[in-house]
Amino acid sequence: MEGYVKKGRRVVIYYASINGRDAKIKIEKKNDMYTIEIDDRSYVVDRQHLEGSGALSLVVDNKCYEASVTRSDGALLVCISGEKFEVTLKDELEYRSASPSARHTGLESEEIRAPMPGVVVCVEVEEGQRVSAGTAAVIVEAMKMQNEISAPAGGTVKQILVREGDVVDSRQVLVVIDRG
Amino acid sequence: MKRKPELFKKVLVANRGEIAVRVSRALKEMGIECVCVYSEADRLSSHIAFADEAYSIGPAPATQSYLNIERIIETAKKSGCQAVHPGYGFLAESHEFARACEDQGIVFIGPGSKSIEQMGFKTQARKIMKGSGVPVIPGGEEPLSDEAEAITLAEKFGYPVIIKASAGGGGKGMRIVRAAGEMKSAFKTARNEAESAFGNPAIYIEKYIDRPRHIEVQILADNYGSMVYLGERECSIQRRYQKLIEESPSPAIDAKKRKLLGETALKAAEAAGYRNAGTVEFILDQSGRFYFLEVNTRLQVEHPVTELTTGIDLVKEQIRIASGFPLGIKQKDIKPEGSAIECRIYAEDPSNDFLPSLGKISRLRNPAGPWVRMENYVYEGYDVPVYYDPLIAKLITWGQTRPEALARMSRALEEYVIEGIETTIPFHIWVIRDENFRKGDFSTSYIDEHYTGKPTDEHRKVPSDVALIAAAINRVESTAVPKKGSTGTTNRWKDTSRREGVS
Repeated sequence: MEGYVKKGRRVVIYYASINGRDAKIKIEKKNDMYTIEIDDRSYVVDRQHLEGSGALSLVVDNKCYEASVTRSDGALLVCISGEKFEVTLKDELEYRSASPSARHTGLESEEIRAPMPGVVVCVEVEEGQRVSAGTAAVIVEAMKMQNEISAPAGGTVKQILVREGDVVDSRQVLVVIDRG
Repeated sequence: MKRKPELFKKVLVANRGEIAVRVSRALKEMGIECVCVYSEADRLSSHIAFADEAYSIGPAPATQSYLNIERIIETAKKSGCQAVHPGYGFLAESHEFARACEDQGIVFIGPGSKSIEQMGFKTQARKIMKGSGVPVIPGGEEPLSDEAEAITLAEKFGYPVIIKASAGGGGKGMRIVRAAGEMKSAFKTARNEAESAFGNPAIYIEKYIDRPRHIEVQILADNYGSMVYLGERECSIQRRYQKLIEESPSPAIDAKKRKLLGETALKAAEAAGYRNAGTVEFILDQSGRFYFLEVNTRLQVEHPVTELTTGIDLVKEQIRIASGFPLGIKQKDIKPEGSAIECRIYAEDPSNDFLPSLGKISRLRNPAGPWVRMENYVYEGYDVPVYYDPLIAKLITWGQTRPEALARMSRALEEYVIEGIETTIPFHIWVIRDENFRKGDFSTSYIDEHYTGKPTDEHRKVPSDVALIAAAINRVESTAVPKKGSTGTTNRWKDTSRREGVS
């Protein structure tokens, strides 16, 4: 259960990060209107759902915006007037449990994934080969363009999972690199 | 071909996407019946809805449908079409297709097969232009036989050099080489790309001009030797040789140079025995010298900017010329007015190196209003197919001055909503607000030099607090998208507020 009771009303707190900036958000609903505090600024927000589209119409202190919010890998992607923002929100519990050291993964292998669906034109590396970051590993053709997919980090090619002519999906693992 | 001028009654559009819609619209306005073709992947493509008749021409891969010459000609004959409009891409620059049409007594709306063949083979085009006194860039005119030959030539011209596909265009099969060590991989990928994109692995090499501008001239030529030029288009905002933004006039061209470019373009067209609509592409170096690049023997993607400044419908002109009518306009009557700009909307993610972004369009709101033109074929719920070019729409605006055209573009881009896939809209918003672009200070290296994929605060207008508000409300209420016809806003609030502890 999030939030706390203040003068009989529930208040929810989020710890947010947006474009490298951290902010604390207090959100409270009164009479169908939200009062939202971001750090030391307070906003009165009227929000309506644009029926059928999933978009939000926001009137923030009488300034008008239309926002769409989608979820991706734990972050919220917000689009307003063609501008995109990536926002992460943590409630109190998530915020306390996420210590910076917990995020550090001492990954020993690195996967090279297809960034989009396409067809493998050519595999440029062999198993056992030493590669450095940026070495072209696989060429994938999508929408008439050949795209070089390169190793994100240096190491030894541990496993090749695709062959020339294979049809691959977005995010499919193509090559595994051993970072040792 | 000699025929009495008479408009066609029925025309087949051998293309898909926005350009098929564009051509259909011109046909309808002219009272000509419009026949479209579609692959198995395109049954739900909206170009069908804009045509009078539709014929299925094969499986999704273009080689088995939109590039299937025999099938398309058979369809044109079966449906009783007198002519075929190829649009751009696919068979538009196939001299085999133009010849097959000529042999079957179907008018190909474009230049003759011989001009297409000559201009399509870039090395041959260069020779013809050089012979007619049109300035060309120093380069090897013969297709390269191997990597060693490429290195020898590169040393003769001096690095950097550029490798290009002899049969190509649109950036496929092109690589810049800055040192001998890069030649091997560039040679190989360029050949592979040329082979897969054009079915011809021939490549050639030329001196690379650093930070040039790409300027092109639109021409129209009838079957009786009359020709006009319709001003230039500035197409320097490119990525991997794919144009993203085009405008007319170019901020780098004055009236004197415009006339010189136009006259040179006509000289080039004459050398090629050109007829119908075409584009002569030049590159302009930093000192203002220009060189012939190539002739595009077709309608260009960016033709609308010329239409908006000249008031001339280029597709209708193409159809009239192909019907055998003489040009109805004289050079002295062509007086381009104002400024027009086009942004190409691709299904690509500009924050992720412009990689293709596929999927269903979950929400779409097209911009509209004064002096805004949309060329579009997608709709809400449409699944962008993987098989074809990722261009989904073009947005064009006009203004009395360049700043007015840019302000309109900015406004229109802010209205534009496409959800479900990533598009180049955020990129365009960034560029239109960028100081260098606004001043007209850019070259074909602009994107590499200035665009990082991540908008900086100075290019933003929306305060980040508003994004935080939207995200916080979204989370506190629900992640569910309301279904059409659902009335549960209040209940959803209750449900989620109970869960999240707000009441």
